[in-house]
Amino acid sequence: MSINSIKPFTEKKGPFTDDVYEPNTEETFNAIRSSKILVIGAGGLGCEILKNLSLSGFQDIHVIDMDTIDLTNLNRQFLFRNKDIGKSKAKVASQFVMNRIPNVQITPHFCRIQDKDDLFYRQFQLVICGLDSTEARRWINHKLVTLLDPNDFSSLIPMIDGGTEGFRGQSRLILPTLSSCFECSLDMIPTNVTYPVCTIANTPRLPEHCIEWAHQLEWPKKFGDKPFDADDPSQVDWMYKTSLERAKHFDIEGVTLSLTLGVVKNIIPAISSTNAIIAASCCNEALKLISNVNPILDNYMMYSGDESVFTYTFKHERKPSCPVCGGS
Amino acid sequence: MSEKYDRQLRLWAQRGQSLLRHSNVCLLGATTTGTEALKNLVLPGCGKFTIVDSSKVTTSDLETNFFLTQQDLGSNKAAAVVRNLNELNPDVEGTALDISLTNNLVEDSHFWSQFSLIIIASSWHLQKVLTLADTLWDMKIPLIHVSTIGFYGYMRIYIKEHTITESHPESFSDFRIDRPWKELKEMSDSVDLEADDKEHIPYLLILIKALDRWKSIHGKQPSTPKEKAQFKQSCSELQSDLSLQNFEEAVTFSWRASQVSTQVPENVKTIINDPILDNLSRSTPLFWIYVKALKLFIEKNGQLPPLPGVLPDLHSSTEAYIKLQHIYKAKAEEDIIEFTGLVSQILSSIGRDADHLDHDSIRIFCKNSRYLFLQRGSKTLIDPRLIRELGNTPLLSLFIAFIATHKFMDTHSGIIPQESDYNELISIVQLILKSEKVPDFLSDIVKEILRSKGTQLHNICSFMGGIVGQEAVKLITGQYIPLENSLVFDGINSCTEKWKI
Repeated sequence: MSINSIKPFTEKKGPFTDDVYEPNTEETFNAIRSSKILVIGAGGLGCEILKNLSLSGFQDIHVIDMDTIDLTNLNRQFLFRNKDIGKSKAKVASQFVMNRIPNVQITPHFCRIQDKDDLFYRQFQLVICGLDSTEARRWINHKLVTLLDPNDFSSLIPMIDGGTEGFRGQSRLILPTLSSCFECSLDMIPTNVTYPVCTIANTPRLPEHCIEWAHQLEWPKKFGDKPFDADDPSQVDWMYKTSLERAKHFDIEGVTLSLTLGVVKNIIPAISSTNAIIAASCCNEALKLISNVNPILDNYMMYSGDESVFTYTFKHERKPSCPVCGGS
Repeated sequence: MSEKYDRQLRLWAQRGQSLLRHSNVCLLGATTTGTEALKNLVLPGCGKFTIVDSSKVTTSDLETNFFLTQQDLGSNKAAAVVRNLNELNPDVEGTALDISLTNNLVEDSHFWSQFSLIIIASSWHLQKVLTLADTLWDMKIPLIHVSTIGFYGYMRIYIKEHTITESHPESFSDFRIDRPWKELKEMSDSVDLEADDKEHIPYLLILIKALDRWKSIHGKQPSTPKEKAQFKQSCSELQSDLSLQNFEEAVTFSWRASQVSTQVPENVKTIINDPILDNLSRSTPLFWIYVKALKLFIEKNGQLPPLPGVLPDLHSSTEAYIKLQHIYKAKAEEDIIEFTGLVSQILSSIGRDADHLDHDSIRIFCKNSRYLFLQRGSKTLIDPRLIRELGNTPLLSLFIAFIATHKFMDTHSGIIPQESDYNELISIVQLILKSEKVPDFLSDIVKEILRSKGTQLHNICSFMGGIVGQEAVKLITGQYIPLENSLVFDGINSCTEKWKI
């Protein structure tokens, strides 16, 4: 039983445990086993999170993801194989972990987070996010704040949020209205690179300018309201050739298929080791939060591995003017 | 094939991937931490891996190791983990060795020479770790030692020498504003800051002109903070219409005009003055041949290294930008040709093949010649000078507690210390500190270690396995800057600290 690994910590207070902590193995084991945890995202972080939670003794896990498996996922999303391409990430990931680890129940939800109602979210003790979208994070962050009844703190659902880009990542713990929320720190999120329309239209200099010209200006001109589908190879090919032609016209070098895809899909580099680090940090906090065997992160850890190894752990302060959690 | 690896190729490109594909990683000890580390190398496509472990799979292994299943109970652990990791990636070939590592084998350099990197993830005798580091030393094969106890993790990299050409700096900012070559000077001379199309002049040209004027008055580049401020002021006075973005850029980046192009960064200075250059031989790695060429190049070109030839986006017309870009690229090409000539001279002079040069690696070296890094490791466990820092760096206590715990296990046939061993463990700490006085935080960490009774928490193993994965990729690809060389992770406070020993 995976839960046994935490047993020594439930038998004795440690030098760093909170004063109120009373060791009790049975109670702690029950708390871990009966906790209902929602994992949002079954991608690079999500696969790791499902594995980590199951091997920490959690037995009632739900996972929600609207995506299907793509070939480019396989360099890190280790619960998926070639034969799974096209299937629901949430479903395949759940099945794999349940086959591997006995006594764990993982319930997949193959849909958007917005498709679920308040009743669905209220059933969880904790939400862990492994997302690559700022919008989805803002949505769930806002949802958890609205679900909090200020007169009843048992309605508080903590959120642990992980994110990665290349060799870098961050994990953080959010206690709605008690600690800084995702919205409080929105200004820390790097915005996507955008190019002024006049540069794209009139004075292109970089290959990216040519790709954005094809993407933002030529596509709607040629195809009207038809949305561009970056997963359709023939459409991607049109985009690449159109960009290349414009680049040649202006004597600009560097338009490649790979760059075209990177720009139109806003691709973020992703590797398994970074996902492992961040997901492990998130699940370590989850285990401490539910078991109380050691204090939790207060409240933000940044990890950077492109130049040696560097972590910065700090308390991100609440923003009094935060439109989501402030002002109450 | 490349599509599957697209998200990582954007970090280390085909060159890095090719090195990864041709690597052979060896894991000593199929522990959870070791298995997690290997998973992070199998997924991105390391070519081969070997696991050495002679133990059998137990139920407690199943509790924390995702890559062991009920069916594996009682079978050889190395074979079971290899089977379950192999399944992750058909491009990778894993081998299990059901052998125990005798002292003879640890010293057998022929056996270890087949590997590109070795990970020790079991509770080895520290002396044995150091013996293996010694065996690998001259072969320059990196050794990573990783261990976890409860909420804590420890990691150490042993390698004699590691060189990095592609450290992936944030940008390549070598624009020679202070030293424009003929074509660049001509272009800057040809623009008129008052002309009708002045909003199309790239700011680099504006700065070249502004610096020229400054030098004609002051005789030299701005260097003191006061001069730099004055120069910035003079840039903002070039144009009355401050809404022109290119002039605005010139003010923002005016500091670039005080950069001295002939100043070679310290890290590169150390590298080009390395004594290794006096003894180049048939077996000297190509990196050092290029360094020698770099040294000659700098001497011949008035202290200027090859130009990277990379231009960031600048507000300007397409035409002016492309023209400027061509000037930078042409100069970079010229430098590469000269540099290549030097490489082939050096190779011939030491009797090596100078006809089949690796032009790609020469180009990359030239582009990165200001961003080269050299790391030289050590084989000592702990630096006595570090101990003086104990009061200032809390996590140093964790580092010392880890070393003490390992030393305890060394003298108790690998048995993890129990609560009753507190006094003995503290006395080992005192020996390391060479002092009776043990800070409270350190003794608390020792208590926390004892509280864990040697339990392995999957999250901590996976965290450390992730760090090992990142560092291994950096060491194998020779890209990005690896950890130098010791690190601890405190999973209670969620932070890490590192030291070069």
